[in-house]
Amino acid sequence: MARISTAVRFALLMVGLGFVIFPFVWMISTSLRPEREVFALTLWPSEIMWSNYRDAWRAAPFARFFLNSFIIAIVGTGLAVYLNAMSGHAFSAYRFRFKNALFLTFLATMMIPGQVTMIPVFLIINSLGWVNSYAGVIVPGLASAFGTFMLRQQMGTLPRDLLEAARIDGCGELGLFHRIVLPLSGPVLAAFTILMFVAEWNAFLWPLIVLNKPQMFTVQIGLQRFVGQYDVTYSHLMAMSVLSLAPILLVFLAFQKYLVQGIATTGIKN
Amino acid sequence: MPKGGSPLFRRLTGVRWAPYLFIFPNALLLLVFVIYPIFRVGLLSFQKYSILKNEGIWVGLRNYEAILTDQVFIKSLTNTVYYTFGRVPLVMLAGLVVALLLNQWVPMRGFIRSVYFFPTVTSMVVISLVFRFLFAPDLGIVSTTLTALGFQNLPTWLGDPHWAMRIVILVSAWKGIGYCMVLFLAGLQGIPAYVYEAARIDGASNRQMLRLITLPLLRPTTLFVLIISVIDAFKVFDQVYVMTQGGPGYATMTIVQYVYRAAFQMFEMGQASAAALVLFAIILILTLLQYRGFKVGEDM
Repeated sequence: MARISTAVRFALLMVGLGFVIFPFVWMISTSLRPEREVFALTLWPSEIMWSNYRDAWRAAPFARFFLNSFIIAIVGTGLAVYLNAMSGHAFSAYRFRFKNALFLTFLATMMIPGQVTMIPVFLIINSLGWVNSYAGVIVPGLASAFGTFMLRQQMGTLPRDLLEAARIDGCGELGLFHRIVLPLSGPVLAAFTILMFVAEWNAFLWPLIVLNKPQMFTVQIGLQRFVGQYDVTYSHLMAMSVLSLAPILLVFLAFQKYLVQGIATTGIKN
Repeated sequence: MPKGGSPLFRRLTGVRWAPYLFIFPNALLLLVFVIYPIFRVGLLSFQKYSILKNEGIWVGLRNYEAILTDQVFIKSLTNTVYYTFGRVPLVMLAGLVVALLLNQWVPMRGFIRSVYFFPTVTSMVVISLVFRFLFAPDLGIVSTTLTALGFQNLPTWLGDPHWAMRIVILVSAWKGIGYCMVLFLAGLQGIPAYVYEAARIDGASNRQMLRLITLPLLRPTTLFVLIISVIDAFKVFDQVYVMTQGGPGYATMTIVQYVYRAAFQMFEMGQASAAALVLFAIILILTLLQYRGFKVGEDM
């Protein structure tokens, strides 16, 4: 039974695969076409226009958009990983007063979606003078109950004796966290880092609310505005879309294992 | 390790105070950006708020009255429900089928799984732009292919009130298949092989094993994926904003799109907050259902 169905299963999977891949193939193909062939029913344009990429890059301040996106994604991810590792460590390695109450409060915040609180959060950002700033995009999303929870789970599996031994050897609590807990939590930190980076890079709604000056736009906002405000063709739009996927593709190829693990064990994205 | 710093610093980083020190930044951030705002949004929903003067005037239930009598809000609710009922079964069924097909060895299994998963990590903005292009009226590849196949009088897809939401659903489902697949695969791996062995010895057919073993034992996963997907569906925004901005007319207006429009395009913070609270109530009920569902799931 298994032998017959393997071929059938493979064939079915390949058909599905075609549907999954096609939009990407079409996007790349379109990005390399001459203007007049944008809508042509062919995968291979009559000439390959690498110049589309250069022209699109110049048609809008894409260098700036990419820079903004990288700053927001890298700084945001780095801070979020550090802060959530700290609180995850606190919940995993210590007993202290109000621990349960605090932990339950952290968990309860997971039930509150950002879409519900975005209005007051914007008012706070506005009164802090953080509209059109990196801080305005990054800071409200830094603390993640989900991240704290995910990191705590993993850190809880570190042997207690190890921490005690380090303390006896004169290691302070900060040293304990930085020199023992963090280095030994590599895989789960990697998983959370990747999930965060992908979420930050792809974020749209919140940056859309906070950023309205073109020089502060992220790539996602820039692409969306690109459609209306600048004089662009579809091949230019697709060229920049391809480019915007490149960092994600690289991260995906390099760290796919952690990504899948992160999602499969927690079931939560973003 | 040499201990430096002032006595206060040393005390704060001692074993007694260290946990508070570690938790403090996150606790403060959650307080300012999640906990305070959820109360504030409740307050705002009873106010007429002026962003310029930074003051709110108490208006009682008037904001709720306004949105509940607003045809656009009602439309955004029904649209979101329609979207959810369209997207969730589609993405779950596709994700389950792919997971079942991938659960046993096939050539290039790892590669195939990666490709199905990839759209999950791509940006919704880019995907929406690509599909907008594929579904461009008359000239897009969907239209030209159908025309070549002999179809006539094709709709303008995203410009057609009957089709716009269906395409939004299709795009969202397409992007979500890999996510469901990963969760279903994890669930399938959790079913012990000996159960299948035993069934095979008893002469069970493939179909019987699927119906009597795999699907029942997968129920906790299915329930989990269902609730997560429904909650996710109610928060839909990016694809709508990029593909249609809620149009044509209000054919694809969803709840979050409505909140965004009311708050940041019409500056009706009070009404937007009231609408956001309606969304919160829906999501809260679904989340509580999820916890209940889990308790039931664990008993099985």
